[in-house]
Amino acid sequence: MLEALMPELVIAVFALAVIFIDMTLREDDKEFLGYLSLVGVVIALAMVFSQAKSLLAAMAAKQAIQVSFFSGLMRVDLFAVFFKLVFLLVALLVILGSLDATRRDKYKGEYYSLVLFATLGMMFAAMAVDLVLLFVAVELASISTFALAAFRKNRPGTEAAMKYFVIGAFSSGLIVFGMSLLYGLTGSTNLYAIADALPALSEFHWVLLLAVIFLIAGFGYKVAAVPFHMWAPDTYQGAPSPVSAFLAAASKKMAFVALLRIFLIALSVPVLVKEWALLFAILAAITMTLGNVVALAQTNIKRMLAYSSIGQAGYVLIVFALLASTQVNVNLSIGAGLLHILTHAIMKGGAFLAVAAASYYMIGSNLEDFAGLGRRLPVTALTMTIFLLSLAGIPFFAGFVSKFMILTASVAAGGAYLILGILLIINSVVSLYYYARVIRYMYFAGGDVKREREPLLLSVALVIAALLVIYIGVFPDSFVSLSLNAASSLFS
Amino acid sequence: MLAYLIAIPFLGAFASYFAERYEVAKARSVALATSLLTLIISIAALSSFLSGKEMFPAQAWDWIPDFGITFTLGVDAMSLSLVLLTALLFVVAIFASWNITQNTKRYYALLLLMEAGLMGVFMALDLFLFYVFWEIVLIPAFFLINGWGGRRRSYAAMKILIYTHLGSLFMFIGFILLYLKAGSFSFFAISDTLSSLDAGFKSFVFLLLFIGFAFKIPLVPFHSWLPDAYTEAPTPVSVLLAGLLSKMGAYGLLRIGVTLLPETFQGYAYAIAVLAVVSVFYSAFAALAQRDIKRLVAFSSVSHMGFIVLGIASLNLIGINGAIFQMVSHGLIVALLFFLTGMLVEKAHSREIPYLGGLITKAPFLGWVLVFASLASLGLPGLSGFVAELSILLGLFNSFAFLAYLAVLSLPLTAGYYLWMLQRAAFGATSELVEKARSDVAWHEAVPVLVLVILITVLGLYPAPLMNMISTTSQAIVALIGGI
Repeated sequence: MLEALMPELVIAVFALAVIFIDMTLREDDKEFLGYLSLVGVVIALAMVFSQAKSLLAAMAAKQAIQVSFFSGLMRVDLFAVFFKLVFLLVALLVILGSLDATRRDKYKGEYYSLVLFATLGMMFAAMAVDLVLLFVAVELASISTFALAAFRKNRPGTEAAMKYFVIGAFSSGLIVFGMSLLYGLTGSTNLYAIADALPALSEFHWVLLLAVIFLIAGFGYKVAAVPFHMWAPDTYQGAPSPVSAFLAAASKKMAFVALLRIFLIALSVPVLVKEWALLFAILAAITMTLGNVVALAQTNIKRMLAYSSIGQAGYVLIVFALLASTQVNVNLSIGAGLLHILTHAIMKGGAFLAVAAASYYMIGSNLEDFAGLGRRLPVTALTMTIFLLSLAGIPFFAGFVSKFMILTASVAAGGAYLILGILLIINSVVSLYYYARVIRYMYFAGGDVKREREPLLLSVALVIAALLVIYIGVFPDSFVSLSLNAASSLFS
Repeated sequence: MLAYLIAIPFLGAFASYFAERYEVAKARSVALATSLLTLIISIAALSSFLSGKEMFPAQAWDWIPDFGITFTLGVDAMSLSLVLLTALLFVVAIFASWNITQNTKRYYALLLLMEAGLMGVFMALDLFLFYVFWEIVLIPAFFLINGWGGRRRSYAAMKILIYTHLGSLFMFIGFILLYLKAGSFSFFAISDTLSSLDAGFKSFVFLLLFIGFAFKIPLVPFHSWLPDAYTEAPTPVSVLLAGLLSKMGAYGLLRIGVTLLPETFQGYAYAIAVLAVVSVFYSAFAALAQRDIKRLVAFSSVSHMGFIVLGIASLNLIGINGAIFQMVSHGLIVALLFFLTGMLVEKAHSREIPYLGGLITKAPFLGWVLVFASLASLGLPGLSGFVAELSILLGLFNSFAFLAYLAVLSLPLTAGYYLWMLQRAAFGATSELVEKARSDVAWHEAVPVLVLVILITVLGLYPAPLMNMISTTSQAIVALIGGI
């Protein structure tokens, strides 16, 4: 049993180690803590990787394997492992980037331990099939990231963290309220037990609906779906760029895990599915449209990336809407969402890290500040170009493959769902405009600038992310089947 | 062998970048060598095709098995002629780039990436693969226009990127709909399942596909990106945009629109032909109004692309033969014309017609080539454009006689704007700017011009070999709709 939790143990041990070793180190030596946490994440990543491999092998052999632990409190299925891979990968990139980006900052011990604790919370959230554990895990991750957002005690950072904290606390309240309604109706906090109890509760339909609305609103804040999005641009802009990367690439994805588990397992009664799918459809349509259209008007790149994140979350929300359709295979639509969560984590995380690399040289995050970046910081500019093209969904980059899957799923659903697909492509075109604008500034604007030596570890992080983006784009095969299998493991 | 046609330019792009970066060789030399090698391989492909080897499909690998996506390449006579045209025009484009001195390593790398993409489009026999290459061509074009274009380059680059991307995505939805029915993106698998599908569905899919093709060709009213892009692009890129990128649309219309959905296309043929006639006239009148020769050529190119669509819409052997022939012929002629506009700016310091009077006396080579190219473009008998347009019109007379009469009326209009341009620019009173024009001709200018002139003349005087080759494709297409 403990074997399944080894990656989490490793992260927890390293997080505590960082705190304790921090006390013994002089300020100049604290960079060591970053390397220490890096080692922890790499070890955990390797373990999760081997978990994924053995689970895939078991699924291929149609062999039963124990996935449920602690009397059904958590499941270590491929779905959970998939998300753990995403979270650890993002943590790896963020820590690697932070080693350079926060070199001049104080409180390194706190920073790295908070990153590790947040990752730990996300990993537990990925495995939780019980409302209480899920809530605690989500809170562990959220509270750690509140503090991270305020890491630099300057005005924008404090404002960012304050907004994030207030909204975060409020949304947690909504979530608890929704959860308590479910518990009150069914007498259980276990997702599977709730699912079993629901069909008998048809006379309480409106209470259930209320619970659904509270849960959607609560997690809607966490994924920054329109109209619950207004904190995101301020927070992403004000927080230090590696933290923004962490928030957009990992923290937001945690809310998707929770949504997927709760709605697909606990609330999957057909009568209810129809209703929440409609809500998600509306949410998806306005989220992707508003996110992308408002992004057009942004002159600050971090703000633009924040709005683009909102738009991209809208693409994933499409997947929820499709679950009411009988025309499309559930595994296809969930798998499409999962793959997009993975690819978006890499490309958006990478894009924020590229901004971090620029600010390492005191280059601001306004569009004009990026003029001539192609000559000044060639590696940063090239990788940023790759992330942006991938976000826009240009072929041979990862984002294209996942967007293709979402589009295929919505076309397969047909009828009114096709509208979501058409909105997706129109938004894609809109987004291409503002992504291409950044590329134009980086390469075709600005006067004479000197090439600078780029921060090594940040560049390594950027190159890893860019290579992953290209690899997934060119050889999507194994990633496509991984996400399809992860989707099917959710129901097995 | 076909995979090399994609792989070599792709690798050559990196080779030319790094060769110049580490001062091993000039990027231009590497790019030229790469494009020549590609040309040789495509000629080898031609000879193995002529020897009767089965190349449709020639190579296939699995790519994303979960979605039935394969990496299938193959050529028939039509795609092979476009592959050859691509290989040739890239050599020409590299010659046309001789004066580009800024950031050459990036420039040639992007150019070669574009070649790899175009080769992919013309050889892909899997709709997903086709789409992927179709889109990827656009990215180097965006960078090339933005980096080396004229004054309004960033506007033009953004416009071509956004417009054609929009069209392509509608086309992609069409592909996905076909995939969902067939369970595979493979061209052959889809063509096997299609006949059993209902007409309404096919009609919807066709409209989606048509939007994508019409943006790329372009047909009026989908053309508004074109004058900006063609005019602001650097000369070699204009050569490629007009010579090859527009052919992607026409090729797609034939390969996918007609071959996969023959009955549906038949239903729409008249409407498409009307749109093409509108396109022909609209752009001919627009060309008449231009002062800038490059813009004139751009509009004239839209007009000629309209003829290709007319040939396709006629849906008979001679018309489709003419359309494919026109793809090649127009590619050569428009390449020559854009090549010339680049030389005009450099030697006579202007592209504006009023400033170019008397060119023929001061810079005879330039002047006479301009005369030749204009005559070829307006369809002078004995040159390749005539053969193509004659077959298209003959085909159209058999199908839609009324539209054919209308289309014939556009010919004097075309002749009109070219001859009027020649009268003012090449002949006419010598202008001040032309007094200072240089008349020297370097070898890297003469060679591509002569090659194009010879090819245009040879195809005009002796069209039979190419015509016979492409009619194998046309016959296959016509057989699908049960015509002759």
